[in-house]
Amino acid sequence: MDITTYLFIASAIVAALGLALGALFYAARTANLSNFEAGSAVIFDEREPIGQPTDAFPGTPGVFRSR
Amino acid sequence: MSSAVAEAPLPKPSLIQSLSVARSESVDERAERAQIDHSMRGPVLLFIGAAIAWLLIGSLLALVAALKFNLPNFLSDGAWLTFGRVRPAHLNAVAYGWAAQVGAAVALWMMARLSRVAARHGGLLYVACGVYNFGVLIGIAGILSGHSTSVEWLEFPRYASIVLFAGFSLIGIWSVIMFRFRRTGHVYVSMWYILAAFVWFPWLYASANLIIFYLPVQAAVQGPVNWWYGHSFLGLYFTPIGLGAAYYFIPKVIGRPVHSYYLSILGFWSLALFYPWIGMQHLIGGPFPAWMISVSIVASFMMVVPVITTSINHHFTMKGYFDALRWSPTLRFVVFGALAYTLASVQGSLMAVRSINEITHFTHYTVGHAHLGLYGFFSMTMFGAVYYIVPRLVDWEWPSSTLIRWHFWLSGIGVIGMFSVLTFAGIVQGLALNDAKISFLASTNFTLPFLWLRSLSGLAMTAGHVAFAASFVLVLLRSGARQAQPTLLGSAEIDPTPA
Repeated sequence: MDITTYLFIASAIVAALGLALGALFYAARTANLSNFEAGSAVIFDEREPIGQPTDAFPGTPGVFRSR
Repeated sequence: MSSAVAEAPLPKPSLIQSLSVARSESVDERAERAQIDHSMRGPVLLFIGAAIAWLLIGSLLALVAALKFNLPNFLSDGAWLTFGRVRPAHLNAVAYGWAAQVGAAVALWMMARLSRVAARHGGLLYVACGVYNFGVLIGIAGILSGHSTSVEWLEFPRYASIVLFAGFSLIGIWSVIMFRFRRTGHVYVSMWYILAAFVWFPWLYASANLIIFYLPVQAAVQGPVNWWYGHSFLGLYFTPIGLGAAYYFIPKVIGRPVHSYYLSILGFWSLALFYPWIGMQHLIGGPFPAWMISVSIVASFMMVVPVITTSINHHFTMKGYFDALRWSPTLRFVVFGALAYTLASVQGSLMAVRSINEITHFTHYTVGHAHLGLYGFFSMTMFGAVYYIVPRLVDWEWPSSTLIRWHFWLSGIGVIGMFSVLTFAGIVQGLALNDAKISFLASTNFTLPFLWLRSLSGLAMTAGHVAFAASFVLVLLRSGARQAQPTLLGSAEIDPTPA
């Protein structure tokens, strides 16, 4: 291996580590690593709230309700 | 969906504006779900359509390759259909053409939904899709015409891999833009998985190609690089996208938040910590330093942490809601995928044990494991995701429940059959290979009946794919009578309390 290859491998490792640490730091700084359970509800909203299933086989009798 | 909302004019920032350091808040309006789906319709359907086309091509190549085990003269007149070309063509068609692409489609849609903003620069995704598929096309053609690199999982010739990399990089750039302009403060766990996958894959693919083909390391070192890439492709691209989808669709379909969000975050960061060390266990018995292989074995076992946390989470989220598997196609596929993930991961950890690896290495057992992971887990999860996403994009319900049910049972039984057959055949084959009294020919002949069963399982899966493709075409054509309350408009009138 020549020096170019070593340099490439070293920089790839440093870049990967840097990205991972950066992401972890960002997560901590933006409070993504605290108050975990509140985060689990972000996929729901007023149109599709908690407690409301959102999928069924097409044409399932009695499954759907008009809005 | 309200058409007024769906057709509301979307703000159109320039690409330079999106990439510039200074943010323009004027275009950062929080969008409605319908508006988001409307903005993602073209690119996501294009990616899914192309992925399904590659799934059919890959399935056909798989059948040809599988039949050649028992019928070696089958389609052997031309060099381009010999086993040595058809088999890698199958692998690359399903891995890059189908799986990676449908994963990207599902992840892109989830990214927009989780960002709560209408898609910016949809044109970038059209270009990405075109470039990416051109890369896959010339790659498969290159393999069939004899230009394979012969490095497993990286068989595409150099002229194809660079195109594929360029196409995927555009997807990554688009995702970063969406993440940057998202309107949600909290980063949901699926978004962590998706972002990581979109960063990891280009990094892995570029690094492996550079180190093996462009700045080649010594020949003996190319093996570890090859298997570091091969295994990481599964664990750092397919796994995060599959898990990200499961963490989104299971709670969303049943209308219940994930059981323990803390565990889901723990699962993500432990995957990120342990998985990149895995791969060298493929080289047990090879001419490599023992410490190198041991590191991967240890990391394989440490993967128990994210696997168990994820499995516990999925199980307890579903607890009391298993009845929902009867009425939700998405849930049926995704839960199947989640179960297969647990099984494949535990099996993978055990396969890293030296004494077990001595038996399973070089046998059909490994092929069974690969199908359980990439098909049982990943593809089944993606099927479920597609069944959820497409009606919301085309504003039309799936035309036939029967086709969906056929797809599920054919794919499910097919992959269970293939996994069972290859696992049993592989163990006996491995024991025979390690027995000096049994000839190599005898150990191979023993597997022949199982290889017929493998082809039969593959045939069932292919039939399932045809049903899936037919459903997709029919829904695009808006075939059949429109449901009074399609899935995307209504919500299930089912008692949401646990059974």
